[in-house]
Amino acid sequence: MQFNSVQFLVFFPIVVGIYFLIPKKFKYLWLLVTSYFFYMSWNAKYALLIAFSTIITYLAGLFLGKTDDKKKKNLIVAASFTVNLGILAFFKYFDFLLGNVNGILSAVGLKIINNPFDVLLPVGISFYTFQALGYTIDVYRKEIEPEKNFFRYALFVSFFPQLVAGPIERSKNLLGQIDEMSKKRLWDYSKIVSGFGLMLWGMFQKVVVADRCAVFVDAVHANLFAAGTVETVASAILFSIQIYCDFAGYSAVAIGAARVMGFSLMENFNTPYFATSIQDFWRRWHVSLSSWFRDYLYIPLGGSRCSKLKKYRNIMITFLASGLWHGASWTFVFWGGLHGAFQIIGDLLRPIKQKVNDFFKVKTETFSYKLGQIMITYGLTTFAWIFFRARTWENLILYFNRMLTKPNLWIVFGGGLDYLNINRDDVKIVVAFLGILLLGEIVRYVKKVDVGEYLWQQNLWFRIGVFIVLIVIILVYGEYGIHFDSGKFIYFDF
Amino acid sequence: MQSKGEIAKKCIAILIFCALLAFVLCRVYRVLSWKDTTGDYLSSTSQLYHTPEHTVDVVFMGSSHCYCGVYPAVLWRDAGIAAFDMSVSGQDRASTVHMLTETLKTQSPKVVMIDAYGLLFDRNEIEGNVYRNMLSMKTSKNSVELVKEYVEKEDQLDYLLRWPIVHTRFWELEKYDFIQYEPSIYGRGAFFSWHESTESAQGEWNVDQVGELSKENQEWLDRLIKASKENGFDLVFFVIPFKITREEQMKINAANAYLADRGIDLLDLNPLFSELDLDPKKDFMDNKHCNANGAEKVTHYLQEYLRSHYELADHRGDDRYSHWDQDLEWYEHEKLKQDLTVAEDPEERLRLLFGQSDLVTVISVEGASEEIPVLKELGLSEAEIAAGGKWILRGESLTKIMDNDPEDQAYTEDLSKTDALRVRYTKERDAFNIQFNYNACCDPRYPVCVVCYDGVLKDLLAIIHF
Repeated sequence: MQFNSVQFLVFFPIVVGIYFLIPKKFKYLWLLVTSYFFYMSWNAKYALLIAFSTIITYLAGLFLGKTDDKKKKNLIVAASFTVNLGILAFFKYFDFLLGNVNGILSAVGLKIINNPFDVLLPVGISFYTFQALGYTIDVYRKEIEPEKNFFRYALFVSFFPQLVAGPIERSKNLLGQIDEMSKKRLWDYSKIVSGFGLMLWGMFQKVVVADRCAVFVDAVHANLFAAGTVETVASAILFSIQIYCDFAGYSAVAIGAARVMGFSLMENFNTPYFATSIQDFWRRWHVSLSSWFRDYLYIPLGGSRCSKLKKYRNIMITFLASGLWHGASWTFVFWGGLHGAFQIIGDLLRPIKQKVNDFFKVKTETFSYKLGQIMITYGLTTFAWIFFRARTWENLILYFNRMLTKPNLWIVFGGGLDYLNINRDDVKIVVAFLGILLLGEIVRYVKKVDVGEYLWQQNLWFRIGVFIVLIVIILVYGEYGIHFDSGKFIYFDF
Repeated sequence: MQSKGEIAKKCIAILIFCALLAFVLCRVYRVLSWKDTTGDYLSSTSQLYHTPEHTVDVVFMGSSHCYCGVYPAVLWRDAGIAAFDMSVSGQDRASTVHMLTETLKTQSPKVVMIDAYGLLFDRNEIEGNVYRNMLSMKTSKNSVELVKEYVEKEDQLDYLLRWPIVHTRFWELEKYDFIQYEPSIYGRGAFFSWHESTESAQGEWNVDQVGELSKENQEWLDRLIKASKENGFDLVFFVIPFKITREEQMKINAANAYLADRGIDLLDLNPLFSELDLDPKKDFMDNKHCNANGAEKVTHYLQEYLRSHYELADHRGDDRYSHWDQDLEWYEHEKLKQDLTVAEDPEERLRLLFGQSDLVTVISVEGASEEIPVLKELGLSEAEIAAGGKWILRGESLTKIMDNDPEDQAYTEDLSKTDALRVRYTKERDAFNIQFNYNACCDPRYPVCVVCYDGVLKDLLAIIHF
């Protein structure tokens, strides 16, 4: 059941309606049942995996809480990590590993190994595994007490709004709120309205912007043999918007849905394309994942409080792991490595940049300087997304070949895009909706609140007007329906 | 705790939002709702919904064969029979049954005549036809059952909700999506065309062999027979002439035998080309569909059958049947349009407009040096023709609206809610001296320009130059 489905349109109001009607002490159980129902709507068997992961990490938490013996604690954490990462590795990376082993075997002339398994990647496994492992580490570090109530903990791992694509919640935040459910007032009109507004905005980002951009991007990738510089550059830009709106849209719906029910989930995106450096970008992009890697990998590795060489090693390890988390393919790993390399190069060039700025008396506090930084950062991230989207080296090589060797600026002015089945009206409508998207981004950047909260702060008539316009835009211009099959959120695959 | 007043305010805000949203979505849906975008023909259901209850005496059901081959306007003109084509492109077995159910909700026909072409094809694979059949009925238990019977399971929800399909229409919206025409303008379900086929429509009808009646076909016939008994109408099947294959004719023969055993007529018109004086090319628009010439002959045959078997009232002159009057008027204006297309001599074309009602004809004369007989026939003197000017002809009445004088104020007229006319004189033979909406109508090469607007068809009927 995806957020952009009719099923969710029915599911969510029923869940929320009953949630507010039943006594407080049963609310978490209701959410647990509905979360499992939500997850099982993809594949009922997946529930066994999440339940298994929940039991392992729950027991690990309990055992960790009962001992102060460091060796035992290490052993418990290692066991929890081994089991959970083992499951993740099997479902997500087995084919990738086997492919690489076979590559080596065939290179040395040995017989390749046939794949004995035919498994599908369970939806959201990377997200809930990381969330559950985060809990294990938090208990290990004594940052939180182990959760005694199994069902509350199970809800923490499976809470449906953020189950399949994040935000990857921290136990301190979400588990704490689940524990507090019976004590605090969950019905909050302002949260319901702002949560609803945020859900609408998220749907707009996903169904209207991301999926409309996807039509163009997919068409270019399907016709790479015919594409030239214009299509490939435009496709790279539109993919940067597509992946942002796809993922940020999902996060907005997740955060909004949770907010309607009185929960406050962590922010996952904060105007990432307004970042002034790659480092800044990762403070704004998929915040829940990047902070997870920061807290549970980068810092334990030594972080930045060590020699420069070690710091760069830590950065590279973290970003390569982040790349691999995103997908079982070397292009994803390369994409992660590219971001790590951008940061290291940026750090190495900092003294030179400083000298250049001093020499030319560049005013670094001006809008123009900041705009330049934003554009360079956007250019670098967009360049890196090409690796992310290509999926295979063959595609990647062909993509760059078309981008660099087939200049064809004239097609912008003629009917040159006809072969992609994209007419000028489609382009106009994408541009119009990008304008609305930019407006939302500016609101977030300037006012420091998300669109839902911003709308709540406005007058009733304005709010109602925006809600209605957004609903009509989603229903009329959204990409969905009988001839449309790309409704899946990109990050479900990760 | 919130005060009662605050809670009431919030409830009102929610209600206002819901009401406004419902209103906006209803309005938007009305515009987006599925309409036949080929333009000339709407699914008959919209006509049915605007037909006064219990007025239809004879219902014809079937696919395009039916609405191309049976003209209720002819039945009305010749015998005052209130007939209706409850017919949709690609109307298959399931659609026929549910369309009949829909018809019987508001009508109580004495006779229902069903095109047996439904026996010859399964689920329609043409997307537009699926839409025509699935999206044109009002949402009800009946329409839901039709979707469940017709559409594959994974697509059913989209068809039931409709919005997931129709929302993509936003690129193709046209004037008639916003301004809903009067329901009767598209007649009683028939489609008028005079296009002539290049291919013969005569098929392999001369087959006596009886094929096997499939289980699905038998079930279909049984369902219709049951409906006729339950609702008290007489059931008759018919086959409009088309290029039938041997296998198809064998299926028809099988159905004919099955129905004959049950005392039900199947009028197979395929063997009657000679009797009906049907030209296999000139009376057809292609090898499967009659054109208006063929439809006149086929309808006349069916009229004789109805007259000889039933006592059907002549409703002409009854106010409740104004839709049929309008349908006939529409048909006659379409015929006039066809006559204007066929006529080659410009003056002859102008003569066809003389005395016609519901036409607005603008005649512009600028710099005519020769004698123009047709203008004299209209009553213009040689001096008037030589001086030039602009006239409007309505029926028999010719009125001068302006001289060819740039100082004269332009003449404008709203011809309908969406169409406007402007007549002016800026300079000799300017293309924009007669303007219909945004279009220049005059050809500067000719001294006489005639622009005729049809108030029934709501469109330009002819532009004539000489």
